[in-house]
Amino acid sequence: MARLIVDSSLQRNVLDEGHYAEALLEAAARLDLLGDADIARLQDAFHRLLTAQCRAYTGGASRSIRAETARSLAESVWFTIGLRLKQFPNPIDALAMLQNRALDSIFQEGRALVDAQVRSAELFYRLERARMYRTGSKCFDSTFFDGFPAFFARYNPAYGAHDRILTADYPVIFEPRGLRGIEFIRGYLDAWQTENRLLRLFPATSVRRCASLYALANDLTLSDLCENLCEITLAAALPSGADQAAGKRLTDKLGCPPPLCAFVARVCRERRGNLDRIRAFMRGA
Amino acid sequence: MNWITLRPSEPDLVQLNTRTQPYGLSLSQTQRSALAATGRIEFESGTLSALADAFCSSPYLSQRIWCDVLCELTELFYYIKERTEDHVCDELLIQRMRTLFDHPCEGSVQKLSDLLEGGLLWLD
Repeated sequence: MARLIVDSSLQRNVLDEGHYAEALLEAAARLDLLGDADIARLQDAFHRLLTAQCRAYTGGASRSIRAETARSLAESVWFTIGLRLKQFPNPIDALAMLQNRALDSIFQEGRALVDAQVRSAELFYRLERARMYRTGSKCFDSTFFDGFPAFFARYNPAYGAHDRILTADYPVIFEPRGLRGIEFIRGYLDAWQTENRLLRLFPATSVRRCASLYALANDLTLSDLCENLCEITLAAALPSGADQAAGKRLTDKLGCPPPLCAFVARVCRERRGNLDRIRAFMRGA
Repeated sequence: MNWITLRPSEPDLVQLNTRTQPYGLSLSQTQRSALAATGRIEFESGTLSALADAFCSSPYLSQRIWCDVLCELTELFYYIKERTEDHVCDELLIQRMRTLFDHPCEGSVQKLSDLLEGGLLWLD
């Protein structure tokens, strides 16, 4: 354990969130926090775990498996382990867990976390869907009204935890980056919910009218439009410019709660160019 | 670090029956290339033993051709596993191969392959 003195180079923010366990192990090996014996022990434990997963996947009916399937099962195992390791804010604690605990028990705890996240995401989705209306944009409606139920029906935490399945065609403004599996879905749903909360402060007919106008300016119909409806609505609601002061005036007028005020401020700060472009298009129409 | 590669299954070969032991290396190489050709990985040893155990009693196999035929059967086994997308379990496939090998194939791996590819044997 002497080697587990906190090394400032092992920082959470430089580790790939989508491949957290692998990134942590590689960084630890590079920084000499893991010796050859540690690596050999972990590889051995991983092989046993993967073999058990392969056996379970084939239902004990086969001794061989497609290499592609084995790779996918391995990714699922690492993703699941990574989810458990991410519970430690400091990666050095996660590394200590890998060194001191059996890999299969970390995996089982990760599985429980995946299952819990799926249940929570599904509940979250149902609540949000009940509040949201069909917009008329195929891209929006098919992603949220058809895509998500298909995701929850097909997502397989046991063998494809890393897989996100959903194509997530609708471009939310701040898409979660670098995440996979249920973590991506949860981040995507969070982004969708924030945008929906804002959209619901406007009349549905106004949202559809703005989107239709913008589609027209792009020689499209609302049905074919695959751009962010919240951004289009915000651009229309900020006629004098999309600076942060205008954003604040709008959120005050709408009576937005603090999280939505922060969201609008961020959109005005980070997406101002896009809002101006949308507004210019709509004026053209 | 390669965390994905599964263990090779060569140690299993020493447990093959006495007729097969002298050809262990050749069989091992055949198995590896058959797995590679079909894009498969063996995560649990025992396929070669099961094939050898099933076929060693065939009257169409002699000591002279035993190893060559077993190599061909191994290739065929993995080929059919891949073609059937894992929907046929190992034991059932070996059992069907063995049953057809003597009759109607009369010890011909080519005929067995044609029959299996034709899919007729799966119609019970």
